[in-house]
Amino acid sequence: MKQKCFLLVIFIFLATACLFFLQKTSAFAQTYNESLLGSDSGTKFKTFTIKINPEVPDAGEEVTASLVSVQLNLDASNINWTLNGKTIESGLGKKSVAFTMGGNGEQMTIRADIETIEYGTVSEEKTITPASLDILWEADTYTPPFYKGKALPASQSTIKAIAFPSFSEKNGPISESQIVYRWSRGIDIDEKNSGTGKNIYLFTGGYTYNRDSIELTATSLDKSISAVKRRDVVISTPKILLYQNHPLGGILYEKSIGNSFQLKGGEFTLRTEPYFFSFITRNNNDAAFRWNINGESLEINPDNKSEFTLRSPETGSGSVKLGIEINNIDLFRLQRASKTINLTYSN
Amino acid sequence: MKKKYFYLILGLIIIVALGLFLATYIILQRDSTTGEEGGGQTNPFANFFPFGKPSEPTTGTTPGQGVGTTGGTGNTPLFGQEITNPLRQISQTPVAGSYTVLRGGKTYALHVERNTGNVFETKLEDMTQNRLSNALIPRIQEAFFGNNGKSVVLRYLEEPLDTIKSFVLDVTNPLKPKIGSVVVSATGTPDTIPNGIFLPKDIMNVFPTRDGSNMFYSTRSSDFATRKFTGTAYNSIKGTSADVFQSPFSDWLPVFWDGTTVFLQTKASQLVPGYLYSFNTKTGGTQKILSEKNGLTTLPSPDQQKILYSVSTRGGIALYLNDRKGVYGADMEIQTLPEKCVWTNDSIYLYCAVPNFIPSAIYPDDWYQGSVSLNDNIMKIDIKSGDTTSVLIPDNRANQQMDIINMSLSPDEKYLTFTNKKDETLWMYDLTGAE
Repeated sequence: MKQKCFLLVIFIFLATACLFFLQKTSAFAQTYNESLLGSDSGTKFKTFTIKINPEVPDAGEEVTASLVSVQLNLDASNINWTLNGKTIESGLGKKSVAFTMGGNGEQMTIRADIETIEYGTVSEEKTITPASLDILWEADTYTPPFYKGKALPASQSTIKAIAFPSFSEKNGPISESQIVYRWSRGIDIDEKNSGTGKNIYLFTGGYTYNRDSIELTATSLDKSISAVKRRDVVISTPKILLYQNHPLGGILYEKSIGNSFQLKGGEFTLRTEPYFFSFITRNNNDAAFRWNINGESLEINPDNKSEFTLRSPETGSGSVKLGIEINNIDLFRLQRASKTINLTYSN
Repeated sequence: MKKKYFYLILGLIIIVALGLFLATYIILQRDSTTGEEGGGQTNPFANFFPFGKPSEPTTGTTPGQGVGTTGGTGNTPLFGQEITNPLRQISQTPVAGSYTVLRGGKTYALHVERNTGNVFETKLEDMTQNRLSNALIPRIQEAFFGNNGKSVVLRYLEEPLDTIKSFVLDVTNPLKPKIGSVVVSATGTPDTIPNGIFLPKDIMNVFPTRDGSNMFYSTRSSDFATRKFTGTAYNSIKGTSADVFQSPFSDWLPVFWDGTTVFLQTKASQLVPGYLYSFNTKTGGTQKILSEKNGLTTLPSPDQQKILYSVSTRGGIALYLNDRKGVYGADMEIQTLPEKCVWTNDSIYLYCAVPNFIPSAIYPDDWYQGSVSLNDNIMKIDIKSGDTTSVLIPDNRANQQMDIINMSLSPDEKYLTFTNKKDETLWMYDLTGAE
């Protein structure tokens, strides 16, 4: 009797263990199978993912979607790509596809269906919202009127960086004022000048040949869109260029005067243009002009210190060295430039 | 009776014939008189008269002073040039701006003389020249024609503060009686002054539509920290202005404007990455077209779908063509700046002035600053096939080197006009007569 009872207990124990084992192995199989079905199956684990490059594309930008998997033999699988429900590419081993993003606010859904021998058809899709972020900047430095080129920053000049985000959602573009801007200079986050709608960042640039690194993170208020941009601003040196101020033609900006100049009779007005100094105008009060001939200082008109009129002597000829030196009287800025030209004269 | 009628009819015929002969004689006499008003254009100082003072007829073989026909009448074109040479010089003095217009099946080039602000009209078929305005406004830096050549924006500096003035001159009626003090310039004390209006001071850039009917101009407020860039549309026909664009960034340069869409490029330097955006001023739509390209300068096509652009390379320039979406970038395999090119109306061909040698320099900075000068030949490029053909080697045709700017096509695309930056003279090239 005892033996029968013992055998019964053993049987019940084994039966329970078998049932438990079967239950567990069944759950494992279910999880394993679900993991192969991608996001559509609603499980955490995926056998493959779609990688988008660039991660946050701009409107109208060309985008590449590619498949990444360590479990599937993608080269031996039939892959079908659909963009917003329309097939754009299909075939054996088609692991990547390129397409162009639509306009601002146009979301795009890219989907990959993979036919595998082992697991049947597995799928994955991704919705992409175009967004871009640029940093444009400008310096407080001088360039002549009508100049088409960029005003470059000089030592210690004030630089203004401006964020140009292009974020969109289903309802349309997100206003610049509805974006949170986080500005960093170097490795320091500037909390004071960061915040919602703070799309302009003013700072004093470094010294000549320094490189100021600005980083900006822009995030929509609901944090659904975010982009990061970094911009290096290289500090240049100011320079002096000379032009003729012609009595009838005005300033002849088309042709600057080089290192030598010939004055043949009459008079000639030289105009100095102090490129890339932190001056509002060329005759700015912060500008100290020093003119010299063969090292001897010349007296200049304080109201128009950037111009000098040369007159040929009535008789004789010769040559001199004409020098111009410009300093920003704000010494902390360390903005200085000089130029010397060989002036040959004859009547 | 029959004899009486016969004599009556004969008499009438003789009277009509005499009348026609007399009328023809008077017309020919008047034409030859106005043609003889020529002289002195080669001397810039000869034009230095107070506002509205009619110039004295002078003798000479060069074109004239007064308002009216100058130069030759078909057989004696400007400066004694051979009409058979497809390359012809329109001005011998510096020019601030030009424009071509079709009238009665003929092509006219209008230009503003830099030293005087006088406006001239040259019929390109026979190179006869006519002065449309002798309103004196010297030292003109830039000029932009509008309203089919009936008005022109003259831009000059008021010193010593370097205030940029932009005066819209009525070319059809360039002078009006002076009331009060002289408005435009301190030169002379005449009884007439130029007829027109001033646009706001310190306009940084002006960019007209292809037909000149509308102009996009830009201003910015003075305080650096808070300054704003404002783009204004000026209707040159109605004479009205409306602000159409604002930005906290002010280093913009307009490179295309059709009255609705403006393409703004960041001002270029080899040391700075450049961007190109388009802004629809009616819908507010913005599109970034090009980005992160050092030394970027651009020339959008008339259909707005293609962008010719250059980037800085080490010591030089590279020229590319993109579509508007930036999808592809074709290397044009020629080295020049887009400012030296012009699109045909169908946006398929380009005419480009291509330097035969690029001196080592910082581009475009040094070229903008006048520190480097280029020697160009003109080429035609078919952007569909990529074929490039040589159109003009100025050295062969005019025995001189040219740094070509402001190239434009006449509305019928028979003529190219351009300015030689070396001396600011205006030239035309007859594409129909080209070999």
